[in-house]
Amino acid sequence: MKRILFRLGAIWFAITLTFVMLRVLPGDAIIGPLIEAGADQQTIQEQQILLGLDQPIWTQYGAYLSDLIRGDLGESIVRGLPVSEILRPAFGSTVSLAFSALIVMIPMGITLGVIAARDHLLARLIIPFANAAPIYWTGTLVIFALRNTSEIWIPALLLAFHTSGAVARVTESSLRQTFNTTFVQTARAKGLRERTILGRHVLPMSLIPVITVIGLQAGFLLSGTILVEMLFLRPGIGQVLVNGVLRRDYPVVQGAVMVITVIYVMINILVDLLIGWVDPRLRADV
Amino acid sequence: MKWLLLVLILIAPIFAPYDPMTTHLSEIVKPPSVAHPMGTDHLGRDVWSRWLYGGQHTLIMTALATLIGVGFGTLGGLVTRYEAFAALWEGLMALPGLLLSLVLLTLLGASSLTIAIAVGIAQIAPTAIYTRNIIKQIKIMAFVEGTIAIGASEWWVMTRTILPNAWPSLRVYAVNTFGYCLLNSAALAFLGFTGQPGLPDWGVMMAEGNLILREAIWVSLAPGIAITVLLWLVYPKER
Repeated sequence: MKRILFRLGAIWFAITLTFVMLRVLPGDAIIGPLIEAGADQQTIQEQQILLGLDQPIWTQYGAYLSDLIRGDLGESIVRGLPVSEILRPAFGSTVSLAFSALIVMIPMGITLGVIAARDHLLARLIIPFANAAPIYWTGTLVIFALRNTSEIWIPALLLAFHTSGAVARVTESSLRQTFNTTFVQTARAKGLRERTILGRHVLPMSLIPVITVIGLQAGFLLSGTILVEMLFLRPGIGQVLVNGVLRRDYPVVQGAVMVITVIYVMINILVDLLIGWVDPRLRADV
Repeated sequence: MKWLLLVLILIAPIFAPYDPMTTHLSEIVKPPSVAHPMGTDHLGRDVWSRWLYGGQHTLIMTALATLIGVGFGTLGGLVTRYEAFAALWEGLMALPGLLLSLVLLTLLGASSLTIAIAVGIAQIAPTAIYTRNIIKQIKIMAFVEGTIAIGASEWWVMTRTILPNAWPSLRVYAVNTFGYCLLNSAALAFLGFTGQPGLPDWGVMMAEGNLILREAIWVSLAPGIAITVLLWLVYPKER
């Protein structure tokens, strides 16, 4: 319960942080582009009053939060549409991409880690490649190799592959540690087959640091989702965000950042629950 | 070895046979040949020359980002005995790194310099948290207590006793951060935030290569391999 409250607090902090960065810091996100576009003083002032930017910052923040709770994310400066309407169709696309990647990443990373722990050459080559190659480059190669890339499983697999590298590395080192413990010696002395030792004794014991790293990978997963959406031309939150930043459309950026943070926190809550399920000792903490 | 490679990338443009920006409309999308070892792109620019210049540009951006991230991050770690800072660093982690950079780019506008700044700032909080943890480990050691006992000032203990001992770990961490900065600056350049189309940069080259993928795969091949090899060199190896 405490963890979940902490995670929800993180959403609030991210919203506030984005608000502070875009409205309070010098070089205001709305005024900056107007000055660059060569707008005169009067136009700037009219815009400020129109958007409520002449109000004190606390009033603005309060208004922003109360609008947010009612589901009103403001209007896009560039497109004139409500931000929630821009984000709604994109949300489903991003969630299904991120979560299918997450679901594939976990078994993929653990399998690679098990193979690596057995000193298999294949894993020696694949894991460093998954960690080092930038996703926007391997994605380009995938698009080159496969003619039709409109189906979701292609970018999902790509995302899963790159995020599974770190999972594999942690699985490997965790497995190696567990293999050195005395209870594995006992299992071997009992004459259990190596496969049974791995599956029944070593793997379950080694999973806790692995699940923790899955939570840490959520950030990379979502960054990767943004890049993959741009690369594979998938109309998701990442695309909305990048276009919003390129046009400096700050209500859109604020909305998109909030939605991505919510997905980020959702994954982390899921991971917290998963840890509790795998290791009952940690349940009280969740 | 790594340093030699970095220096080589920095001075690479002197080996470039052509200007990286000049377009030759008669030489559009030519496969690799003797005159153009890596072929030409959709505007007839020599990919080999652009690759050499691009490495320099990408590396300078990355180095600046790393300096900002590690420099201010270490400083941030040193001041985290004030609880407010600790809370700030933890809070900043609520946004995934690339997302924080994107928000900063909305504020700062698009250019190579702002990419470096945005990527660097996103690394401050993780570096500060790491530094704080390292300092915590060193602080409880007997020789630190000894230094305090002989009456050294807090500043002296921090800069002369703790920091030199934290340095080896921080150096490894900085190399790792360099990797993230390279990955993220190239990603943002790839997404079009250099604000200058046609700039020779590895990220930009990959975006351009993406446009003419079917006709000229060689444009995106070279910068992609270069970034992969560099990241493979800087990432921590197992065992």
